[in-house]
Amino acid sequence: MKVIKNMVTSIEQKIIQELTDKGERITYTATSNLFYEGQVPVVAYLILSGNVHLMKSKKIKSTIGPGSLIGVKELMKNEAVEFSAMIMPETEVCFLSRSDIFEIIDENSELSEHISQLLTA
Amino acid sequence: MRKVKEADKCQNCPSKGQGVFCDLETPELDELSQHKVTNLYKKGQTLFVQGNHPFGLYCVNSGNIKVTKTGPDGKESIVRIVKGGDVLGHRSLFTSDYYTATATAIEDTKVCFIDKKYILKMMQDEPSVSLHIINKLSRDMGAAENKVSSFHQKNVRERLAELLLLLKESHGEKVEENKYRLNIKLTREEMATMIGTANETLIRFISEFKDEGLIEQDGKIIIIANEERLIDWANVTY
Repeated sequence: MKVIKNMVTSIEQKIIQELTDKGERITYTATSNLFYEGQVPVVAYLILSGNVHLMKSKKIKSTIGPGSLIGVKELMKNEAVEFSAMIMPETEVCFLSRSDIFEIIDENSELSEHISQLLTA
Repeated sequence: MRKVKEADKCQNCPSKGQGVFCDLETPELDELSQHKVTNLYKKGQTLFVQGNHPFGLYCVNSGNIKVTKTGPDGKESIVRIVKGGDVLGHRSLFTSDYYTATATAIEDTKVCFIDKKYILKMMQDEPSVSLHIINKLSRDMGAAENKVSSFHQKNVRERLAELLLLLKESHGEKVEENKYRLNIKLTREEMATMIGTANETLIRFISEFKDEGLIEQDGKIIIIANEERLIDWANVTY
């Protein structure tokens, strides 16, 4: 689905490493809602292991796994997401706050260029 | 600069003047409006869950949120009710502990979120924000101490009277002389967990309060009809 493709970005291994150095890694022990459809995510999430279900009207529309980055564009542009995201137990994510993303953009590195491209895509 | 709806700006917050950011000048409020994320949580949706990692500070724009703790037996008890102008998640922000409670909207609620790095920077730059948060933490601690002593020293009737008086302070609206409408819809189960009793016991005491003319009911809404007697029944010593 095009909307899901817009919301989720697949990230290369090298970029994953750089992003995890910037954000904080956490493992969810229980099922939890990362955000609900119609909301702006409070942080962006990079999935490191496990799965996240993308849902619409309580129905699973897609399941995304390691290397997927969700919510960056929506968080930085203040746009609502069209899907709810439900994280499964034992899924590890790295979360990036708005402040983290601003710091990355200000660094003027390869990573900041990558994030800027993602925001303009 | 990202687009922020006029209604979502801090300057237009219905709870302006009651929150931790109320002493900030317009340029600082503008900057804060640019940085925060504003969302509407529908009744039953959770802002954060007990055991999850804290990302930042939640500031309630309008509506009501219940903060609950789940015990090892799976029983849920309401720790406090958060309304417009209040903040949430401030304790976990400083301790870096995981959330020790779950926050759930009990009606459609508008909430702003500010990430941890930004709020910590703001607290360094704006001492008034730090002072308001310290004030908030101190009040929370006072409320927690009162609650502990109530559970030890008061019976269920007194605890219910005290709860109604507290709800009158936070959500009461004067409708007539000496009559206050509690603008919050809590189920009997939720009220029972707030005073640490069983549903049946709470229902029995609510009937007793109504029979004695202390309270009245308008659908699910409770109206305090005799505050003075309620204070007597609550056995408030301060």
